Amino acid sequence: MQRYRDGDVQAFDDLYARYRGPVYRYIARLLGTGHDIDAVVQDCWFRVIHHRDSWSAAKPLRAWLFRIAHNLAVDVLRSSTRSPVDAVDNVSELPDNRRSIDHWQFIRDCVERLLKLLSELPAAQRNAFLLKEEAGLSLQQIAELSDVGRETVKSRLRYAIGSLRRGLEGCEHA
Amino acid sequence: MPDPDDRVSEIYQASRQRLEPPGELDRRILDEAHRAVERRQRLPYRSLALAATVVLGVGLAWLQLHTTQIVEDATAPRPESMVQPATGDADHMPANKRREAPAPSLPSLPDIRSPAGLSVAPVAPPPPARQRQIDAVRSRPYADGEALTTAPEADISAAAEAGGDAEQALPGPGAPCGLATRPTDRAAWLAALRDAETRGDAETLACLRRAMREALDGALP
Repeated sequence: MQRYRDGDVQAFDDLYARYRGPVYRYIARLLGTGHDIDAVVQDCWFRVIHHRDSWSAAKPLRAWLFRIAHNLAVDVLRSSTRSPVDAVDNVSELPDNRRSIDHWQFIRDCVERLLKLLSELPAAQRNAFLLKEEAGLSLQQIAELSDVGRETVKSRLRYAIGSLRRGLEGCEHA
Repeated sequence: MPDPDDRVSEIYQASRQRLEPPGELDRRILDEAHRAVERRQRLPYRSLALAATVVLGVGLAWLQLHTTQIVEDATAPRPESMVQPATGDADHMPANKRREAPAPSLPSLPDIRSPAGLSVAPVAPPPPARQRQIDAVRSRPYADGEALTTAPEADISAAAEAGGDAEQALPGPGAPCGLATRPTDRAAWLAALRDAETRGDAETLACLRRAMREALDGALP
């Protein structure tokens, strides 16, 4: 980010290549269908571009980037009463490398169940789960980003994973 | 037996593989990132160009103003310096103040812009022809036989009377009516008259007659 701020365009290309997927999935799965995911993601990255001077080297880039994504997604969620229905993933395109068709089908079923369960989680729990899985943030970073205490985040994550685990019964060997 | 939390994470990771941003979105974002850098790189040059334009504009305006001031100083009349050269104040006063100084600020000086004022200007005009003529008469040497007490006054009167024709009557000092030398006796006057009659110069003839009348107490031929 520092290099991009200094005018190195290639630095942004590298940064975008690293975070384009996680940011997109975080926003898409937090919002679910019924929203213009592309517009929100574009808005997020445009903010990163135009507010690059507000980033300081003291802040972890990942946390700063996902804070922007989080704020945008939360704004969209607050302005909409629509509950997320996760159907954005084209699960049928999951790759099948070395596994049998049956095994691939089994995994696909598990993923579909997980995504459905995820979309049914409360937004706060879903947000905490996605920030952990997509952004790879620590509990403390999630707490700071969500403006809640670390214990609260820990609790949310515990509830989220518990719900998902119960819904994924039978997928332990997937 | 794997950790249940890890299993959930693994299944979620499996879902990530095919959910990627569309290529069109990637292109828009990368284009914007490149444009933002280009805009910022152009910004110093724009600022520099703007600053240069401002400096140039100010410089041109100053030059225009300064040039106008010089032309005004060169063409504007300076009455103060003409009527009050001895004080030196006008020379020490800035040009713009001299220009702006109102005429009433010099009440003791005559207004030289009016013809009447010119006649009383302290600068001494060149002596008029009449005065030069009188001076010439006063300074001329007396010839033999002339009355020392009356001749100068007569000459002065003649010269004063001939004041209207002074410019043409006094080509030389003391010599009236264009004569090279002033006649010293009656015969010389008559010779001069005859010479004028011969030339047919009526103007000189009249002048000589007047001068001779005055010089010789009206003893005209």
